[in-house]
Formats: sequence, C-alpha cells, structure tokens
Amino acid sequence: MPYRSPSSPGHSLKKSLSGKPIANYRPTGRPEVRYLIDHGFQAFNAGRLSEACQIFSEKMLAPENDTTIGLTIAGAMTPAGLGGCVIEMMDRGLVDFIISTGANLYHDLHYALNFTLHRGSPFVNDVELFEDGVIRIYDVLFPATVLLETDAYIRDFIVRSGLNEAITTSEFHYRLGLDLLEKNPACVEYSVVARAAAAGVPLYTSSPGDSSIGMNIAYHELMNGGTLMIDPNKDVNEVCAIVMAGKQNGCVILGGGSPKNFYLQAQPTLWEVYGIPKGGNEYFIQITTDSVVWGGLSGATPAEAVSWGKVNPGVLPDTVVAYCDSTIAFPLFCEYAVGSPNGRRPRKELVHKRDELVASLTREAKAAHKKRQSEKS
Amino acid sequence: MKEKSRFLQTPIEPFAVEAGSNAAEILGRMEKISFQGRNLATAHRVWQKMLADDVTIFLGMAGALSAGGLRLIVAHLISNRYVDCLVSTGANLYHDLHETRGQYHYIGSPHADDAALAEDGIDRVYDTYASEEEFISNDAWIAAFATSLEARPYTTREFLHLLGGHLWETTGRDGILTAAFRANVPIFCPAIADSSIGMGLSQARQNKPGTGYIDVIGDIVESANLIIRRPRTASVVLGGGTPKNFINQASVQAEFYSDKVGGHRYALQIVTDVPHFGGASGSSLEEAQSWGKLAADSPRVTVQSDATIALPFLASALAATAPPLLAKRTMPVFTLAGRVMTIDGQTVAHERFEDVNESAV
Repeated sequence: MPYRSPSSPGHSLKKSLSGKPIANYRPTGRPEVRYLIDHGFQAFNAGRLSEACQIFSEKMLAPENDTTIGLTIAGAMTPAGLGGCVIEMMDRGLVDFIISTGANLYHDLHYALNFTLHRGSPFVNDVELFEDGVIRIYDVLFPATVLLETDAYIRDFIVRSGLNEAITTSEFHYRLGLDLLEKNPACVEYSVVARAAAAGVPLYTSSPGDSSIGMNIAYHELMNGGTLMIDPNKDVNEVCAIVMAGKQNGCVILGGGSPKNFYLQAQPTLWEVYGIPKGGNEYFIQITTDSVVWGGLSGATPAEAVSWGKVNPGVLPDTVVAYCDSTIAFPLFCEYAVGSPNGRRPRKELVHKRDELVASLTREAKAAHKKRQSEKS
Repeated sequence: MKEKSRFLQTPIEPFAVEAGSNAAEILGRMEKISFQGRNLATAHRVWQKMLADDVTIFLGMAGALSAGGLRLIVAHLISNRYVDCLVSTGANLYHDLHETRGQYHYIGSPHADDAALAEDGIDRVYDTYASEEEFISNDAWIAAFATSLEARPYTTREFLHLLGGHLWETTGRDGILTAAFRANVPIFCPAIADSSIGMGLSQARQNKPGTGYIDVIGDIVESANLIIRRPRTASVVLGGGTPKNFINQASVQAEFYSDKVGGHRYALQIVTDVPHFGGASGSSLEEAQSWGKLAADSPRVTVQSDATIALPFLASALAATAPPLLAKRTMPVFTLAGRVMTIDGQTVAHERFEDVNESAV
C-alpha cells in the first residue's frame, strides 16, 4: 500500500479538505461584467484587459474575419476551476484549438471522474499535508488518492483503447475525451477533455512527457510492452496546417510557457522551414504575470514577436498584453466574450479536418520546395 | 552573401568564469551578455560618466537597505563623494542610527513564526530581526536630542545634519548620518513623519512645546533652489518610493524658475518594481522624460534587481574604477549647519524660490 494512501493508519483528511469544492465556473455573458469592463476598466492593466476583451469580441470573433483562434494554457488553470470557462468557449465556437500544458488536461480528468478538489489556504503546513496524504497546488487541496485513481484510469484507458502506434497528442486527447463521454456522459459539462472531444476542438500538449498523462503512457511502454507513442512532429505539422488554413489567425495566451511558444512557432515553421509565406498572426492577446525585463519568452512582448515573423508588423494595435493573474482576468474575459453580439460562432470542429489540413500543408510545402529548388538551379 | 545588417554589429560574448576576478572585471565582461546582467554593467558605465561630468548627483534610497546590510555602502558613497545629496526614507536613516548607536540587526528567516517573535519582542524585516526594546531606546534618544534644539521649525536637511553631528560626537562611528555630517552632504527625508524618526520627533513635542517641528515644504524649496543654483544634475535611485519622486519633482520645480534646468543629465535606477503596474517606483526613465524630469539625450539605465544584489557589486566595481574620476571631480561644496544652507558659497533659500529667469534690471 502506498504510504500516502488514505487507508494507511493515522491519516485524517477531514481538516485540510473542509473547504468548499472547486466548481467549474461557467460564464453566461452577464451584462454587468461587460459594463464594468467597458466603463470601469480604463487604465493600466484594467485598461489592457478591457482592450483585450474588445479586440477579441469585436475583431477576432467578427464573422467576416473568420479568425482561427488558438487558446494556450499554462499555469494550473483547471485545478483553479477555470475549466468551465474553456468549456463554454469551446461550446460556443469561440476557440478553435487549444495548446495546453499536460498538467491542465491531467487535472481536468479529476473532474471528469467525479473527484473533488477543495478550496484551501496557501498558508498551511506542508509536512502535515504530506502526512495526511493531501496534495497542495497553492491554495487548492485534494487527497493524493485522486492522483492515484486518475493515473489508474489513464492506464486502463490506454489498454482498452488498443492504441499501439505513434499518434498526435490531439488524437490521444480526442480518444481520451470520447472514452470519458462513454463512461460518464454528464462530464461533458465539467471536463475540458470531454467537451473538446464533443465539440471537435483539438487539444495539443507541447511537452507531452512533462505531466502525469505522459508518465502513464511511459508506464504502458515499460510495463505492458505497449507501442503507443506520442509523436511531437505530427503535432507540429498539425498546428502548422491549422494556422496555414486560417483566413486570419489570432491567439489568446494564458500565462506563457511552452504552449505560448508552441503556438507562436507555427508561422516561423511555415516561412522559415517550409518556405510558405503565410505571414504572422493578425491578433495577439496575452494574460501573464511574467515581465518583459527578465528576457524570457513568457514575458516577451508582441512587438518582439514581430521581429520573428510570428505577428504581422501592421497589426500591433490588435495585440495586447494584460499583466494579471489569469484566475482574475480569464473569467472576466470569457464573460465579456460570451455576452458579446459575436458570442457564438459556428464551430470549426477541426478535430475532424486534421488529415485534410495536413494533406494540404504537405502539398503546399512540396510545391514551395520545388519552387526553391528550381530558383537555385 | 548578403551584407550584414546594421543591427548585428556587436556579438554577445559568453561570460567565461575566471577565478579571482574583481567586481570591475566581472562587470566589464557583463557588458557583453544580456538582460539585467548587461544593465548592471551599463549602470557601472553611467555612474562613471556622471563622475566625469560636472553634475550634482542625487542618490535616492527606498526599501529596507540599512536594515539589510547596505548602510556602509551608502556611507562610502557619501564619504568619497560618489554622490552629493541623499534623499532617503525615514526608516533607512533610523535603522542606520540604530546600528551607529552600537546595536545590531540579526540574521533571521523569512519563514519565521511571527507570533513567537512577537512574544520575544523581536521585529522582523523579511529575513532580518531586530530588538523592539532597542528601538524604543532609539526613539527616546532622538526625542531627547530634538528637545535640546532651539524651539523652531527645521528643514529635514538641517535637522538631519544636526542629528548626524550629534551622533558622530556621541559615538564616533561610521554610518550614513555620520558620513553625511562629516562630508557635508545634505540629506532630505521627504516622508520623515512616516518613520520612527518622525515618531521620536513627536515625543519631543510632548517633552517641550515648540520642539519637534519639521518644515517639509522648506525641503521642497531648498531642493529646487539647489538645482537652480547648479542646474546640471544626475539621479541615482535605489528602490523608487518617495525619494525617487522627490528627486524628480525638485528638477521639475526648478525648471519653473530657471531655463538652465532641463531635467537630469544622467539617470540610473535599481528597482524591483516594473512599469506595467503604473506606479512611480517602477516607472521607466523614458516616462520621466515626458515630464521633463530627465533630459532627452541623457545616458540612462534601469536595472531590475534587488538592491541587495546589485549595489554591493556595483559599489565594489566603482571602488576600483572611480578613484581617478573622483580625484578630478568638480563637486558642489555645501554648508549645512545653519537655517540657511549654502552651495558653492551661494545661499540656498528655503522660504522662496530663486527666480533666475527674472531680468537683472
């Protein structure tokens, strides 16, 4: 029995897990929130967030622009209950594909499997928590068994799925979502992974080995001799293909991290590697707590991205960074978008178009290659 | 091959570790690396340029730098005239006085049990401790000194000079206040009420009516007149806060009365705050240009760093590179003991601004 399992002697979870359950907050487009953002949020980062809301709702979501919208998620958003916002945005066709850290999708599974995460305090004794078998994510608390049982579900799913080849993370998450829907249809309302499968939104993870989902895929290889592999090359090409097909492209970046880079590298992959002159993003919205002054990518500005061809030079007015914790800004942002006149778009359901899009990328890339060869000779 | 872009003139030179390098050598090589490391190296350059030019150098100091073990660096900068005028928070001068009086701050932990500290009468400054009992004795000491003074208002410049003198006579120890007294460097403390020095002064008023009066508006006039008398200035800011604003507003104020004042000629700031929250501490030096606080062509640099990291490094490097510049410096000469201070033999009024724009006729 693992040391931290709940039935090990002397463990009482009651005290640390007495906080309210974390629920997935679902934005409904409340007009008071829109009023606050339009009229109350005027300067500094409130002003930036207001601009971000307006650019998203009025420009990115405008039907005539038909923007392909990528959402990138870094930082522990699903444990904090922000999955509900993502679910609503996917359902309404307001995001077309998602690049997330593995952890956000892994922790989303807890909700799908009906486990409970609790509100708590960031000022607790971690040694006591360890002894009680309680896991802490800043001020979110839950029993370690939630991890163990979620892991067991993933391993079980992998075996049941019969997946035995090199696949994309989007395929893996799609199959996982379908499995969740079959097992527990109601979870479409509170699981990002399940809703993404239902709404046809591809979910990518830029570093698939760096989370508990990856850990359990690794288990399958080591212990079952499984041949399921995650192929990041296919992910790179799929994301490129989606971006290439976009009439206009725009992103909403939560946090930064490797999902930010993974999204933004699509345009450089197109022009620098494949020789396809797609141009950069038309829109760029980021919510981050990082700063530009440390030189890292998470805090890098849209202006810096222009130099890399990731953002089109003429569009800087349609780029905005709000320096704020996403747990504050993103629910407000989603309320605003959901309540806007463009608060629902036909879903692109890109999950079902991936092969077609990659085929089109292959054609264009080969044509560009041929052209370059003939120019050389 | 295509000609190299004009943007690609100077390669980054990866920093190579060499045992036994001194701070100046390290900073010299950090000019070729990136981010805040390069900014710190640039700060070394900018400060050298200030020393080589004929400018009055203001040093602003906010954040618990005295409690944090930097007070003798500031004293060194004053004694050797790397700076000509200090603008400080009250707490930094108070914690300096605390140690100059032979007491200590102690190494502690940021994860301490504050209730246990409170029981023992220990005050915590992040990871540094001090004795509350000793603090109370300081307050009484300040009150007794202020009570002994003539019952009239004092600018902080005059009061702190006298306080430094008294501290030097009674202790003979080095510190910020004593160094400034001995080097005749003025100290302004715009938020003196917001510190234990202010609390001590309030006790003086209790002891003897008419004492413990500080003329902070006189400080504004004096600091502006100081710049009117000697319009070329430079600003070195640690931490931001009220000292940063005070140094900048002096320049803006002075500009109304003299067209020779065009904002600071050099600016260097070491801050942990960032511009995008809109506050003055983190505001960029470029933003200061829009206010006329900083001349448009001024060499300037912002180092985003905790001063406890940057200042020991920077001051140690300057100790190696600055002496020839210090020897040749044309620095302002002050008299500070009286109600009216002087700079280079000229009076600096505290009641009214010197209007040099007025016609001489």
